Amino acid sequence: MAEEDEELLAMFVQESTEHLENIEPNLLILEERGAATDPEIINSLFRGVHSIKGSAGFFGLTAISKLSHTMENLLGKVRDKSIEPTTEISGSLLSGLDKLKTMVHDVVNSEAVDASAEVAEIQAILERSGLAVPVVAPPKEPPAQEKAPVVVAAPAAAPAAPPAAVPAKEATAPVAPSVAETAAAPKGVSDPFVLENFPNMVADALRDGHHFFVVNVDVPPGGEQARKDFVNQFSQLVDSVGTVVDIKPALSAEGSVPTLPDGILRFLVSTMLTADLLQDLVQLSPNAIQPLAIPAGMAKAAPAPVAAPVKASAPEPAKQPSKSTTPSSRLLKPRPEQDGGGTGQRVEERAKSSGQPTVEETLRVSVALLDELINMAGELVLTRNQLIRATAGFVAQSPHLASLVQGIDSVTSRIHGKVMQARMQPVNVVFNKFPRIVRDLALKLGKKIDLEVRGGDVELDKSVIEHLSDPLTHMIRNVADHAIELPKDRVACGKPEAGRVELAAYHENGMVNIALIDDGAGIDSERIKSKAVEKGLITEARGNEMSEEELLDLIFAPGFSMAKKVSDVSGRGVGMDVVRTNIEKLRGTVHISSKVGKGTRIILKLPLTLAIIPAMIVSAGKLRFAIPEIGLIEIVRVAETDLAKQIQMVCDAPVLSLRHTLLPLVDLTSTLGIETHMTDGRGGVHWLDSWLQQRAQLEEGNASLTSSSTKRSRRPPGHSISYYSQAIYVMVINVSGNTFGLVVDDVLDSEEIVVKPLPSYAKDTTCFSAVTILGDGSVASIIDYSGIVEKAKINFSSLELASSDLEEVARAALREKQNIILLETQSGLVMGIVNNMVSRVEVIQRNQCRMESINNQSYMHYNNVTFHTIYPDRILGLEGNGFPDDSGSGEETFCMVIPAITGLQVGLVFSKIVDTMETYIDLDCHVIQADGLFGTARINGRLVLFPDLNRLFQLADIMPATTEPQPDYDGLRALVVDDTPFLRIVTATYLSQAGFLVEQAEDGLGASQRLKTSPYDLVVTDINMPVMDGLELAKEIPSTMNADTPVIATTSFISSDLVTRCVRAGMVGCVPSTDKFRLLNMLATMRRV
Amino acid sequence: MLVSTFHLGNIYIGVDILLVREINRSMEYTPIPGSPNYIRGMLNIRGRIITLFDLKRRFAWSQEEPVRQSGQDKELVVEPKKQYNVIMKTHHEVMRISRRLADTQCTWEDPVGLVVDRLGDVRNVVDDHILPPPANLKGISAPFIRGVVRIEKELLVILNIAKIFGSDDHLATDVTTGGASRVH
Repeated sequence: MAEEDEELLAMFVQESTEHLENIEPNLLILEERGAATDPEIINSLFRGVHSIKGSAGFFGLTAISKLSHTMENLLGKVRDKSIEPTTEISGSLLSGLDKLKTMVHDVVNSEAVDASAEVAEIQAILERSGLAVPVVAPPKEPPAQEKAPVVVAAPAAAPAAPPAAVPAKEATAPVAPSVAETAAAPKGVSDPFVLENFPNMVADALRDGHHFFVVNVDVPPGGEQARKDFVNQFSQLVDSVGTVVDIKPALSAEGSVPTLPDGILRFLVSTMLTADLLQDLVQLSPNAIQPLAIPAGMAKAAPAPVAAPVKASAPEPAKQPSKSTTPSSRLLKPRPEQDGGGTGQRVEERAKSSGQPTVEETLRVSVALLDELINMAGELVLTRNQLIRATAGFVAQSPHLASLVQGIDSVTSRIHGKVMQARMQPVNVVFNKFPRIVRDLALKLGKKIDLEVRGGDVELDKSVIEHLSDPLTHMIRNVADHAIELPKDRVACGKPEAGRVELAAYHENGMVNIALIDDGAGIDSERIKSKAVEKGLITEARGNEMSEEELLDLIFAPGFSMAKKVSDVSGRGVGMDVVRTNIEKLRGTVHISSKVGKGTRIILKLPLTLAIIPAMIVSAGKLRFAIPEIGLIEIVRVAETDLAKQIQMVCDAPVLSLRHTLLPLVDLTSTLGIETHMTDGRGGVHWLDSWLQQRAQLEEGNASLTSSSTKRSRRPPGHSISYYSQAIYVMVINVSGNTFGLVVDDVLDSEEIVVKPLPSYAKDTTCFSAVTILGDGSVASIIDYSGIVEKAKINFSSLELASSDLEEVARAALREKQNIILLETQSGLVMGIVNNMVSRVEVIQRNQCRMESINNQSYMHYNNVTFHTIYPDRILGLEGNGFPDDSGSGEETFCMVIPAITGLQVGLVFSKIVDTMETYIDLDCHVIQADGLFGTARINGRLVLFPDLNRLFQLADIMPATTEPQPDYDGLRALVVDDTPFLRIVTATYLSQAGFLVEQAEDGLGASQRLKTSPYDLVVTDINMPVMDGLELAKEIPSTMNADTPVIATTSFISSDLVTRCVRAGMVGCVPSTDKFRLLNMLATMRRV
Repeated sequence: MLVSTFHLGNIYIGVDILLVREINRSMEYTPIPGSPNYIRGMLNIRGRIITLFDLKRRFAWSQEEPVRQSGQDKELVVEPKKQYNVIMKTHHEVMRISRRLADTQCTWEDPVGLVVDRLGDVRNVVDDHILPPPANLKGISAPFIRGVVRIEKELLVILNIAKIFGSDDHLATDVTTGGASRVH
């Protein structure tokens, strides 16, 4: 008996915990929406608290019962609208909820918990509102209900023996059926309900153990609409626990209520509740509810009623308690089969999206058992595969066998799938508690914080989820405490009053990332430095050497706390180091980045141990690997014959031209260092050689532009990319915003793979994140993209990373054409220079000029002028084929580009002009990264390099003499607005070289949005732009927080008229786009003024 | 102590039978590119992924290049020579038998296995008969040896497999010849 009690008590705890979990988010909704809260939410709150109260009373848990009763009373008032749900009310309910949680959690000692403060708080609210006249629900709760707490709270009800409480709870239940016998035709009703008219409902009711009741409801006087609303409201209430079968007098087709002579509307209700519970729910007097017995004939016709045991349970006291808890637990159970009708308005969208946990039937299973099941399911799959192979020969002869094998096949797959899912849990399990935490913290700290939670349905292994809660909670507390500023401070720096915190989970590269992003104060790396030095974590010298990233990383050092003063929220110097330790225990990583004044972004990258991910199975170097489909954009097959056409070498790096972009290629086989001895070494033709040969043949007729390549093929290969002379597959992969192509031999299959941890002996190989077992039972490693990128030494430029929108835009079609001149360098590269950067181009006969070299700089005397000559390819370090002699026997002529930079006597030496054209430039900054290069583009099928002339001259040590001492713009923020990505990149490069922190916007509209939200020290804008042009933007600026920020216009065609218009629009001036010196000079002038 | 014995090249080796989980014919395995050369690869045995150690490479014997089968379409490598995989118990599993044994002899957490050439008998060895390895023993460096026992005419080398499955760093810092040294 005692054991049974314990079991029951455990059930009560679990059940109540579920209720409490449901109550919390609903209370938060109530708090946020106040009176506008969906009544259904209030109802569900009420029901939750009610069933806790009921069960607690049954166990004699007076403290719990008292508190929940008080809460229930208040919720009841809220529900019948006699109290406006203010924040005070929801606050008191929330603190009551917390106390309930504490008590339920430690239920044995719950009696000792002092909940008097919470009870008193709620009572006070109730008393104050006692004056308010109830609006709806005319017959108030019977006085017995009101007295209940007094009885329960009486100390006499010692931690009672459960059976003693039974009768009280169960007393009315057995009564109900007996009443039913007599009340089939309630007296005074001329038009009784006849159950025979609803055979289906009766059958359902018998099956589900429902009862029928006739409920007489006083419809409040009022207009047509009021009556209609009332009836709807009542029906909805009943819908949550059962069904309204019929209404008399019948409603009209549009649902309008006929006039009622006696003001009473009668409902026939089918519900699982007993009479007393129903009465509790609808808050009517007991005699307004009359049970309606199912006619004997119908009951017999129906299949064995399940309902019977519930009623019959009364004589069996031993079993009774478990039964008696059943109805209350059912109260909360969603009723999907009847929800269909009115879901629209009933379940708020918000409640859905915030992942409100619905109560599900659960069964506790030990993790060890699950793991065993998972392993066995895996074996089953393998055995299935072997079976299919073994029977393949006989299947044709025996159709019966075929269907058997098929059946086993499909069942096995399903078993495997389901078993795998069993360990996975949505991160919502953890995320759900944060809205509450953030609310409480915000209240406590006097801040306003909007928390947005996304990706709650991303699933993680149970063990990961379990260990995620503490670190995340700590991080969130930190954000609320330190990152988000007080509302007045936020307003002062032009931010919205409420801080925005975003908590998001998403998949990336086979990991689950959890990002916590805020728009708060950001972290000042200087302060971290001084603090760390002060605390002796680092020496000052070391601190000065450290990069910003490293400094931010110090936050995770043990004993480091940034809080100015210790608060009880955070700041005890234990925390972020614990966060890191915990995450690293899960084999995850923590990344932090921050901008002072803008916010902080912390990203946890978690492995999804045991997670199932979709992956492509590929082969490389005769081994099989799994490539996670997350991050995989597309797969390109390059046929053997197209290798030469589509793949080019740029600075020893192979690139694939794919729809006007150049994709850096990484060969999986060679990157992994798969040696031939590991494989069978069949047919290892050096692929570089093979395609270079083809390429040479292809270009024989058309040799001029690409003569370099044939030269290159003579060189010994720089690094060995061993490959086969056959088609290759390029997996186009996106890793943190950057795209590259992973070359594999073949794509074999697409599979849902189970991620298994990498054996510890293979952990040194960063290229794999985990391993998996393939369908045939063999093991395959799962490729880790970032590891591959690291190993292959691809460096995506940091400028690109900083502005992730840039890449996307650079690929987008350009709206402005550029006049460019294409020139070939002496080493065979093709470079493009925008016309307005060029003053003139001269074609020079070699015998008409004299070359001289002084102090490693070369000069040329021509037409009585001495030019400083530079060779752009050499400066960029992109040569590689050796140069023809300068004094040159080769070509008779060469050409020199004199840039449009005043004060410079410089000539860029090229071997010849290839073309001039007006074209779109689709600039790509990834493929070749060299100092002095804006980027590359494909023009008419050729790879064209776009040099940054100004930078070239700097690199060549010939900065213009006129350069004034450069003012220091370090740390100033500039916004570059241009719809032409090329020009935008150019201007942004100039400004960032000068020290600005540059942000970019595509058009005036985007810019003005940015200008409204964050401060800038400079705006450089194009004039001609779609949507909102530069002049309009300039007029807009005074209305933003950047009213005093200077604005400079850039334009391709400068005219005095335009300058006037710019100045009139409030701009400082206007400079030709791509003219770095005029731009910087203007800035310098402004600085001086 | 019962010892499972094996032949590796011309050396007769043995390991405590309590540490052995099972012995299989060698089967298909998957190499791990980038791992140390003595790691032969990974093996799936009933859902467990076993890391296979190539003992000959571990002992740094002259590279016996395994003969590869050519003209085969399988990506996975099949050793042409019949060998055997000795799959060891994990720390956790040995723990159930003896905590002391687990702590001293079986320090690895991952499932691992050894590749041997031939299987021998199970021998009963009296602990007192185990001698320290002779200084002139060739082929296996001292840290890998727990001791030697003369059985009939042969010399049985009892392996200190805790060292074999340990990493090289530990070898460098913790060179003891006895069996009772923890790796982790």
